[in-house]
Amino acid sequence: MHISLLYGLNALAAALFLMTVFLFLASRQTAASLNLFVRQALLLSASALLQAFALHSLDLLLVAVITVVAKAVIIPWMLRRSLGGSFQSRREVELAVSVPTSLVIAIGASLVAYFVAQPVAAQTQGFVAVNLPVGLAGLLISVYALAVRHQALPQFLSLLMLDNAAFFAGIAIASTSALWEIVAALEGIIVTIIVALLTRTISERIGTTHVGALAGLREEGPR
Amino acid sequence: MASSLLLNLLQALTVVLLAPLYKGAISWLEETIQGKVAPTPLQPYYDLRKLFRKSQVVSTEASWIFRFAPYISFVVPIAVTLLIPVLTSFPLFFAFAGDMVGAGFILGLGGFFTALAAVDAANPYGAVGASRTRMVSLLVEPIFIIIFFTVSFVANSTIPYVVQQQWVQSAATFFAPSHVLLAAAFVMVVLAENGRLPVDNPGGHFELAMIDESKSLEYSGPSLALVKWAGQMKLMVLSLVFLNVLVTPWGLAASPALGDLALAVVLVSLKLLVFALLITAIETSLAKLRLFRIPEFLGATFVTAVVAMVAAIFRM
Repeated sequence: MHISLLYGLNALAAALFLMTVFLFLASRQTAASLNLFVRQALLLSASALLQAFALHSLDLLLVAVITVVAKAVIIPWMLRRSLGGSFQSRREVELAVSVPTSLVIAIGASLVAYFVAQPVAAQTQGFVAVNLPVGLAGLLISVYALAVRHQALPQFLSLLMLDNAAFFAGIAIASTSALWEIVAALEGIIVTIIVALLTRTISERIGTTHVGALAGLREEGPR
Repeated sequence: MASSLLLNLLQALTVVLLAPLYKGAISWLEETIQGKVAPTPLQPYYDLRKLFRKSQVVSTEASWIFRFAPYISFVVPIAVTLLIPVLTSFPLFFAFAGDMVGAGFILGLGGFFTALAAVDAANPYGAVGASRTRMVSLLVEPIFIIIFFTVSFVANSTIPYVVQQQWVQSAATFFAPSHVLLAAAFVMVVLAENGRLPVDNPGGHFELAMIDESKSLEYSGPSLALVKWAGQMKLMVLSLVFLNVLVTPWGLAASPALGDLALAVVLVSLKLLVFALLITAIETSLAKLRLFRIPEFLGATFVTAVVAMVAAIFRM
């Protein structure tokens, strides 16, 4: 296959990856957010697969497979199984900042990402030039999404998206070792188990996972 | 020059005659996929014929604007057709009379007059519809401008005939993030501008919820036919801009030979059919947004367009 076609398809995956981040920022339904996360993981793995094909790298192939298994299958399955009720709730995700404002901030974050990545990307060709700015933009926007969400589950999904974005930039820069991806995937699964159990416990005790309301200590008295 | 003028007229005629079929085909596809018994794709032609035969009622409150608006909105998409490539890949007589920004302004003129006419008839729902369409257009306008900026950054021009040569140069430019994001933003803009789901329900005629349809509430007979026909042409023109200029400039006639043109009509129709399938997929999988969520949808579109521009500027 011609190398420029691989570059092209990778760029396509990158563009769609960035779109999932924006849609996540604008989505108000938890179930929709989870679906976006799964699609994002698939795009990440597509990018890894294309790079594995172009660079003949077994490690990247492994990364692609692990990403699909861990992030597109196991983590969503686990979250749905343990917290099914929270996903089905038609309650909208509570946001500290309105969606249009968030989207404007997302523009700023992408601009910063492209600006920062420019000197590095200008020196390189193909994959890094596309993946680095997109991954960086995803990283910044996910951190922001994490900050403005009130409930535990959407926050956790932003955290997972942050992970995806970091990897999206990471696979292009350091494409030689799959070991850390295995570790990170396992860690992701373990963190998911812990968070799921914790959220379920919180939800059973107080009927909601609105962690924004848990900011004060009881000793401080009613706020 | 004469032949190029003739071809321009042929282009306009193609859009005028095929637009109702395009709309009918989208409705037919949607209803068939949703398991309903669909009217034939030719139904819009029957509707138009019926309306042209009917008499017309004009409110005593209405001024000349109300009477002239259907003609203006009918002529506007035809004027845009003269500027964009419909069947040919080589520039025609009016090709350099205006660029994509100009085409946007011409379409805006039509929207302006239909909105004025909706208020003019003093029907309360008309005013509601007019203000809502203005809200949507107001939010769509900057997205259009950003898309044109992106196009001019990539192709160094906003003349449609020049732009369409740009994307097919290599796979790398075709799949570039700026191009993909640009195309996505343009699809969302097409949906919003033509009152399709998720912004507005084209099949629904519920006064409180409708946006686009309420503009033509007061029209009847031939005027209503013109307004409907104009809406169908606008959808087709924007789809053609998307297909022939921004994304898939293939299958156009490279010479003014009759055989090439006939082939181009077939190929362009096929492309439109594929785009109709895309619209169908979007419309059957999404629900209509609540009115106050529309700015969020268009905000996401705006961000997509801006990032396309950023990616184009940094050439990544």
